[in-house]
Amino acid sequence: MTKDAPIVGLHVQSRPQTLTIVRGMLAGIAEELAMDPELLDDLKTSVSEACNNVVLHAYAGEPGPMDVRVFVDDDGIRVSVEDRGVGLRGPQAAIEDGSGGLGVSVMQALARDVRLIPRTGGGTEVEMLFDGHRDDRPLFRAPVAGPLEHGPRPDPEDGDDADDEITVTVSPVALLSPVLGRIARTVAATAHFSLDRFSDVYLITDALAAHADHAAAGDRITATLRGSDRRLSLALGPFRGGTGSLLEPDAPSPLPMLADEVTISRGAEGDTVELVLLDRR
Amino acid sequence: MTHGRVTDQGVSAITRGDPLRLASTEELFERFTRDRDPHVREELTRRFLPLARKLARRYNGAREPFDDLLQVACVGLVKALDRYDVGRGTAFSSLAVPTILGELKRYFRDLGWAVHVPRGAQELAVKVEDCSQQLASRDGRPPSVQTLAQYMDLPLEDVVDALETARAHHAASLDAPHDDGEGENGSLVDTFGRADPRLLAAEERLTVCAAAKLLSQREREVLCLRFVEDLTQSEISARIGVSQMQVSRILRRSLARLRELADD
Repeated sequence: MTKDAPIVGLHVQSRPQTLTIVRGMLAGIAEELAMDPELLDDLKTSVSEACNNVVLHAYAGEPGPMDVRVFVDDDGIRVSVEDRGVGLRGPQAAIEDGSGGLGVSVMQALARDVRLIPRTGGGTEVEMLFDGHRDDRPLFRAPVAGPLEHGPRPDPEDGDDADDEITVTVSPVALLSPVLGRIARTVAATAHFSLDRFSDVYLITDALAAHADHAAAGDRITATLRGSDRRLSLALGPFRGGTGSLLEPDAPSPLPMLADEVTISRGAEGDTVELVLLDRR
Repeated sequence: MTHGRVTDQGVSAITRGDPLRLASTEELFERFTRDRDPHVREELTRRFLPLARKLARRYNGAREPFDDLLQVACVGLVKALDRYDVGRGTAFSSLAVPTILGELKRYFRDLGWAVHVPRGAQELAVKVEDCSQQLASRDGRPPSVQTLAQYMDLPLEDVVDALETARAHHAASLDAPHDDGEGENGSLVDTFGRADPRLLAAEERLTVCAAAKLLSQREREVLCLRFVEDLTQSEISARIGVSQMQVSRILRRSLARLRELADD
């Protein structure tokens, strides 16, 4: 497994409400890896603290780009939270003299190792390492996947940072169902969806994940989500050609019935499926 | 601040015009390390109360009153104060956080249930289901997730989590014992309504997928109503007499089964 390839990479704007998305992503990962609940709780707490620091301090209280990446190593789980904000003066010193604030103490209490790394060109990366074993018992199962050698992952810096857009990349593709499902449902709930429409999101992410299982163009899928009042839009890919079968009115593929708009566009890397889901009560 | 016993003592210290209130935290730590004066400890406890509260909130679930958790966190805080050696040069919080968390975790273990109380999550899931039905019958339409969260006075995130639990693939076996809330336990299957003759016509139209024949009659009915008749999940729930969440589970499960069959 390549150490430098995250199993999940999330790109969001740092707002207080995005912490729910981040924790949802972690819960989704935990589901797929059958993670020990206490480890999940430690991850949620520490990563929330790291993200909270970004929300409060990185951009002087304004939202700005934030990346959360989760890596699985032989010896545990590594999470990195990165911003491009004002940065910390002497971040490692901040850990040593305790001036990094309460957030850092919480992270240090829960993670085996915490590092604050200044980012070239401004910004800070907080990297936390969590043990994968307790009393010789594994706390999660490694994701089942081929080698995670894949092409260049989409660099968030290249993308235009549209407000409120959430981008998540998973590799292996098996992580799509729980991770995209959690994030999409959190966005739908925040977008004032009724329980009826919220419940349809399960069917949609299930169907997309099932399609990705055999039709992903590579070993990763990237999804972009946006929510506004009673509207959820979702784009994901790349898929191999022939993704049009998703649109056939066949019972195993409920997308055309459930989504208000479905389009498929061709790109250099493969097909992208775009969906719009409205809640018109 | 109005929380708990410890703060009240802090407030009374103010009214006495206690000079401790004016001392810096460093000074207080030095004094406490030297003479172990309980008044100094009290003042330090008061100052670090927000830390205890923050950590206690992490375990603020459906079962334990928050004040109890705060009290436990304060015990941890006092232990950390007693163990802290200012001469070491480390920040107090780096000792206090693990000590307080340890105290909270031990509290749950001593209570005899796991820190993570899967039962708590299940209970919350049941509560969410109940409340969504109450709201649906009150308003005549399914609530939004946010309305549900307000009604239950819970963060949106907790409600979404509970819905995940309620709707998990493996969450409820249809044959699992089910408490119908009226003291009569039957299996979920018993709570289903009778077959509706109008459905038969719709069902005949479900010829799109041969594999559908391998589903149970109930699953076919629900699929028909959703995808042929284009009813919402709530409308299906009213039509066949099961809860919207059960409709959601049936749909999810039967679509998953169809996909499996289609893959074979």
